[in-house]
Amino acid sequence: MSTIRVDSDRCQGHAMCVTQAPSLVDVDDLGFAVIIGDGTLSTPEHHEQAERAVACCPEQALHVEDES
Amino acid sequence: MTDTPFDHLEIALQADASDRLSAEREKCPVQHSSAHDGFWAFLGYEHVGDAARDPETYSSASGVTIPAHAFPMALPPIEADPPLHMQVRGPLLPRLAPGVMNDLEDDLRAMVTGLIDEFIESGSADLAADLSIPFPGMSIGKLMNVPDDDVAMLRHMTAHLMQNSTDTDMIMQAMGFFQKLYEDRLANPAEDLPTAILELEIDGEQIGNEQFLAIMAMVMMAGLDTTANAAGTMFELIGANPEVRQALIDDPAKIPQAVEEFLRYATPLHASGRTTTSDVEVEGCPVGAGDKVLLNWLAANHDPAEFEEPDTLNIERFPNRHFAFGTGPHRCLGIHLARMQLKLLAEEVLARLPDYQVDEASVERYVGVTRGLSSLPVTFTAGTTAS
Repeated sequence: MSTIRVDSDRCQGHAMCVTQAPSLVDVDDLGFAVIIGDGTLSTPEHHEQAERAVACCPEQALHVEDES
Repeated sequence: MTDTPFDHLEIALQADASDRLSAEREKCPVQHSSAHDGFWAFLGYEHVGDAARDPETYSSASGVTIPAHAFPMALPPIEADPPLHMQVRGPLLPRLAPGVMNDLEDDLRAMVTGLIDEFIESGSADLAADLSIPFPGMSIGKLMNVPDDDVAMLRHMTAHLMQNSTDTDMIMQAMGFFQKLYEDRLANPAEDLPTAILELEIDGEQIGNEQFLAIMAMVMMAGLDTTANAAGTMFELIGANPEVRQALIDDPAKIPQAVEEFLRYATPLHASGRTTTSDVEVEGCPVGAGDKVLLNWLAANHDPAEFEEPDTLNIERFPNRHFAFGTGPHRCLGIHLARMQLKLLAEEVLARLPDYQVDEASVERYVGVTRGLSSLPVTFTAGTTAS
């Protein structure tokens, strides 16, 4: 199972990820990205959203962890 | 060391600025210029991004404009390093967060509607002077919670200072205005941005009078001219690209993604400065401690190493990791406000004067801290007022 993670040290709150992965990422009161739930990618739609969110981050703060 | 007369201000004034920057980048992505008392220009996406994300090496505390502005103090948080930077920026973030801006959407849209009402029946307008320039002033005036007369004065002062950043008389006028605001909010705290700034604590103590003035000046300078020029250049690009215009008229849901591409393409905040804290070698160039470095966002945003066909305006571009809002800890504090403003402007203009034609011979450009348009005359089929 794969999960999406945010590196809080890198996130600067551009919030581009939220536009691409609204089921997976939200922003907190300061505008920084937070993962919804445990970040598990359980559907093909999740995987697609996660891929787009990772790709669009100007800070390269998101990544997908693969566990086999 | 290659010393070229590279001058970002002279280049940014040109309609083909990105082409000229790309030619410079291909020649040398890091180069020294003797202009403005000397600085290193970083022109590639990777170098610009790496430097912007490394505030320990590339300091902002000695100013982020080349040449230096004439305010009598540094303007935090943009001209501050850790830990002062987050002491000022942190408490302001929730006031400019995406959810807060969504709540402002109806009020901001009403401002745009009102401005368009003033010219919609005439069939002609200046989309810079009549819309793109006044709207950000009205928006910031709302956040600052100041009366309309003061908004008009703020707009005037900012437009002047952005083109004449060393006019000390105007700077003193602005400081006088913020001083009155300081005294008023001390006596009458309100639920607004000036009061939030007044209540900031630095090293455990409430900020003083001078720091308040500096932060207000930063809000004014960063909040008005930037968005005005982003809007002006957006309308110029829409006017010059019929297929883009039609795509956005047919499907307004594409506007937010298109806004990101207009921002990348035009990059109104075209460059920012830093000062190195130690000797570093970049692309084989010996950048010495204390040297000025120019992060050229516009050049980075047209770097083919990051963007496929960078000189093509592609509103479907994905990903679009542009630096129009900067990157790293100093990324634009007003990013979510700016995006909302630009979305609303595009939606309303394309709904109400969709056939506007730009009078290209009369377009007036200017460059200071930002680059954009002081005049964008258009004609269109006259419509009716909304109210």
